[in-house]
Amino acid sequence: MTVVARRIASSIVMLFAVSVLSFGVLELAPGDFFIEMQIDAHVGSQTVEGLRTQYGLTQSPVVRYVQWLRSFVQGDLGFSLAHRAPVSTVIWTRAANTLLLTVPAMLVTWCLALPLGIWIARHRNRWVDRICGGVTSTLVALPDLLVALLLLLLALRTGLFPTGGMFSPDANELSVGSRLLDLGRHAFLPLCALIATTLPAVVRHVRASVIEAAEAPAVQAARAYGIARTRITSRYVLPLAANPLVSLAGLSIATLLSTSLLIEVVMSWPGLGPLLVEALLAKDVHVVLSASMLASALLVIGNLAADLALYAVDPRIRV
Amino acid sequence: MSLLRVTNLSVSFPERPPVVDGVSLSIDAGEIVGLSGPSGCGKTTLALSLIGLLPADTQVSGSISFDGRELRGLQEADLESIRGARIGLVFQESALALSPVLTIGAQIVEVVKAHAQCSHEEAVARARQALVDVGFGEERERIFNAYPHELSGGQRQRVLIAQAIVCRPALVIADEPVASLDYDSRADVLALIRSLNEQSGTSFLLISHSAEVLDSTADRVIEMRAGAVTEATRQPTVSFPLASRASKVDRAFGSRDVLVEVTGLTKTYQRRRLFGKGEPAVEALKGADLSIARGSILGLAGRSGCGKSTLARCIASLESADAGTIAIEGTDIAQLRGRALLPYRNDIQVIFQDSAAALNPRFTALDVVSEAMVIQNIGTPAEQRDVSAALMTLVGLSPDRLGSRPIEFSGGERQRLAIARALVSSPRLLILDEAFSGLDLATRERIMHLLIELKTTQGLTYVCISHDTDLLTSFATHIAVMDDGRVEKPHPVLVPQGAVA
Amino acid sequence: MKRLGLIASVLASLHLLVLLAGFVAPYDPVEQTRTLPFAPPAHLHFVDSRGQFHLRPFVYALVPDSENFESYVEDTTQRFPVQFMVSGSAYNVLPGLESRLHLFGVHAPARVSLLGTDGLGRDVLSRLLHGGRMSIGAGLIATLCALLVGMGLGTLAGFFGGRVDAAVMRLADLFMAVPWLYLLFAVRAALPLHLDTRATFLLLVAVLGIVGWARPARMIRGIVLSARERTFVTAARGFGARAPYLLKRHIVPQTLGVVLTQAGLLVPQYILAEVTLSFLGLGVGEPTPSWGAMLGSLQQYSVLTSYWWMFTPAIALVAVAISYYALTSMVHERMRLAAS
Repeated sequence: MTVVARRIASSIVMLFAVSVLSFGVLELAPGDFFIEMQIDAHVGSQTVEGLRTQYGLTQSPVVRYVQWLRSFVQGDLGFSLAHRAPVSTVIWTRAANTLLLTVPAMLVTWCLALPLGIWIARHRNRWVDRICGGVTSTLVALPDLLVALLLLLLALRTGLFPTGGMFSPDANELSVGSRLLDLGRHAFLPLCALIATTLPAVVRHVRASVIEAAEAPAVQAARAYGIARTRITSRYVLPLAANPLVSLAGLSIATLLSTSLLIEVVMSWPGLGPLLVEALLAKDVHVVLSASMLASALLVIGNLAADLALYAVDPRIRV
Repeated sequence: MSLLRVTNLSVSFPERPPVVDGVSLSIDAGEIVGLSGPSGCGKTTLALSLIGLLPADTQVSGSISFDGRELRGLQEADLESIRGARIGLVFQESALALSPVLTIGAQIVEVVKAHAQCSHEEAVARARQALVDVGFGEERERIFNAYPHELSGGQRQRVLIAQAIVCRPALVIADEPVASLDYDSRADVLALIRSLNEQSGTSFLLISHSAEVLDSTADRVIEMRAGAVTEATRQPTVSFPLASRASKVDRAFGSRDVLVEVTGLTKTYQRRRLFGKGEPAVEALKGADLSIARGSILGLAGRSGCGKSTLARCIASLESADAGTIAIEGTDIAQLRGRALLPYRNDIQVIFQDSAAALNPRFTALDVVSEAMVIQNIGTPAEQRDVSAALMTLVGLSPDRLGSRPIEFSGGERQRLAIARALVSSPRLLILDEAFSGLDLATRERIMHLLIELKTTQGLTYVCISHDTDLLTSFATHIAVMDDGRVEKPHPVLVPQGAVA
Repeated sequence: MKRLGLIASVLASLHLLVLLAGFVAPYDPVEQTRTLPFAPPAHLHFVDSRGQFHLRPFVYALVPDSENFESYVEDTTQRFPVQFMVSGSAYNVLPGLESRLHLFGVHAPARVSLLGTDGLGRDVLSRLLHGGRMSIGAGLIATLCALLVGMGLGTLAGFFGGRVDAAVMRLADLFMAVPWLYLLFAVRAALPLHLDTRATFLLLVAVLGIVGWARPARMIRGIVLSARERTFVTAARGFGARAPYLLKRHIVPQTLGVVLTQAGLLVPQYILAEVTLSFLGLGVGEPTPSWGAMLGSLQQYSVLTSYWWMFTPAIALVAVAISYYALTSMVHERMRLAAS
């Protein structure tokens, strides 16, 4: 059990370090939220200074960091200067929306990639394998941006799916069932984009891991004992492939979060992505910090879950 | 009536010369037949071909008749019913042959269920019985529920045998079953094979490159070389061609003049981490003492993990000892560092086990041999080249090959290159750390001849580390045995001619 | 081997085209023609309206369609043959060396916009070529920075081991704990909002690269760790070799293979990073062209659905990415075969 406790402890240390890194990086930025106002000749410099002091921007970085950290761990994520509201009110809904997209995307991707990868691995080096290999290589090279734009184009041309937002304008008047349907229709396109951008790479990795497991000496030894082929796949090959695949799942969370950011912006899905971009452009420091921290937290939690799953799956790690 | 009769079997991979070339052999019921030969001669391929485990595109011709039935050309389903049930196979690397994610018990049960229509409980009982049969008495429960990485090498090997015999096959093929084991485990496993043979009448095809293993266990030995059987049968003999030569030369020498004196050497390895406690420390040397007489060939024996290599590395200043002295002709070098240590570094050189790994594959032979001169900035490039050419000739290689890369040399030739490299610094002591393992018998003899010549012409002293006691008896003049970080007999004993340690 | 040569030449030609952007592009990338917004790609004709064949291709001038204000119609009254080696707008061949020579062009008022024009009437092909300089250049420079830092820290960590190794790896974990795009944004936030000058752009690109040091460092550390334990390194130590010699002669050469393949994978990733930033308006400022900014106009649905030639930067991007990946995997295969 101490292994688990140690992993959790090191995750917390990691988050702490991320906060220092993010804060430090933002500190390097010339100018702050009010710099635009400062350039504007109509606003007196005294007003700007007054606003600065009011929002605590004149204190030293260390002081500001400590204050921020103290409020952060208490749940107060700071104040969004652009939205004129506490960051918490803005960020949690956005985070939930991002999760609403990324979690189903990840589940669907893996549910599709696992059987597909195993099937391709079984037919390795035959024409099926070659064709799929070519297709996945090409898809992997396609930038996420392009995929998102093309899907958007498709939606606009066919008119089958709405192209922005989470709900239709009149969603509040619909019944629960219709609202869910409405949500689904709006989420379909971003979901497709997310799956299309991550599926090819995962399929390739599943294939590679299964092939590597199938070529392990232990599998050949099992054949030497006369164990039937189907039994070998389920009892020997797949459990051996589980270790690298779980690790892969952990690593893919990072890519998924980054990809979803871009897709949310292109498809106008109200998640952390558009929030972050706007905050960046407005130099809304607390929002940028909180969004980065949240994304890191999601990643760290995801990796922790993957590590725990690995612990359960591979007895060698339990030593 | 032969249990297994192989007639004119040839196996080749696509577009390659045959790996097994027209091999014929037979095994009777209740026999233990040894199959010996240097690495790469096709023994394992032969074994795999008997039960049809080679890749689909392999070309196999000839006849394999088992218990009156022709095996070659059988359908996969038929072969599956024979594998494990009628012919068992014990793989070489026990760590790799067992799935790391299943318990031992689960894996043996899999074998049982593959061949018998029985309930799960019956299969479990039979698996437990198999563990008893291979000698796990009281600990069989623990072994049953353990994972492969929790077992020692010897225990894993016995598990592999348990898997092979659990369905009571008539023939078991054991491919290098004791190659990676230390001395004690080796003896246990070989004894097990003999007892299984006596009690159940199981035939064994015992494959090994070690004459000692085969001679002690097999009824008769078949030799293979380059894919073909060289002698149909051979009665076990012990031949030590060099023993007479070595001991004659050096017995005359027989001086008590000590070149290197090691006292109380201690070394502990500790892995440290940034946060949190590190891994447990390994005490490699616990106060080792050793005297190396000038002009002698000291054989250093002991099982794996006893500290032989660590001792050698400390003497050669490749590791620094925690405590103790290493005196070369009276001067203690154990605490020397840097420039002060340099002349003594030159005095003691090491020839390593794996010649392919000991030479940088991107270097040319010239780079390899002249490296010491380059590092210590000795001589102009032309002079370095001349010295390298002279040394190549000395070790029996043509200086024309100075521009070739290690990959273009054979295993034995690479060891010669390594010897040439070591000789550049005019050493007085050469440590041969398992330098002969991985070489076949013929090459081994040639290198030994070379080393003995060089010893006389260059005035060298050797320390030869090996786990192979045959080798030490035929090559060394004195033997010291190490165990658990200490040298048992610090003042090496002269080896009587022809004795087996 | 032949396939390798083919891919390598394709990649080299793409880079050459972009390098010679000033020469190959018919127009200045920032020159606007407000009268011809979103003009479709020019048709090259060989046969004129009277059915006569001409060897030299020619174009017609475009005029707005009187019936449909949003589209154009060709004015077939005058032919404008395509000329080669024409004199056009000025550009810098090297800093300080100006030239006016362009590969091809036509006389005014016709325009040979082979890939059409954008919303401000700027020639898309010219912007594509000049923008390629920006995007591909960003990729190359960022990769260089990432690899320099990664090699340095990775070699240090792998060679010296112990506390140094642990510290560097923790730092790498930290950098990898933030999803890359978020890290990119955080870094972008540290820079001024408007990157007008080349200098600030280079700064962005360098920082982009340095931020991505963690993964290459990890891989190089692994190689160095195993190289350090190789017997031939031990043998060299036995001759009295010190760290600088060991690193130079034995260890760093072992890492070059990995460095090469990493470079092949990182360059397209960094090109994409720059494109993404520019797409979102966070890259180099107007009017400097970049592929991302060109694609940014596709965020307007009208542009997305009507003007397909605005997609060309994406196609160029895909072509470059595929070429790099193909080259890298081929080189990787050959190295793997050579090692076995």
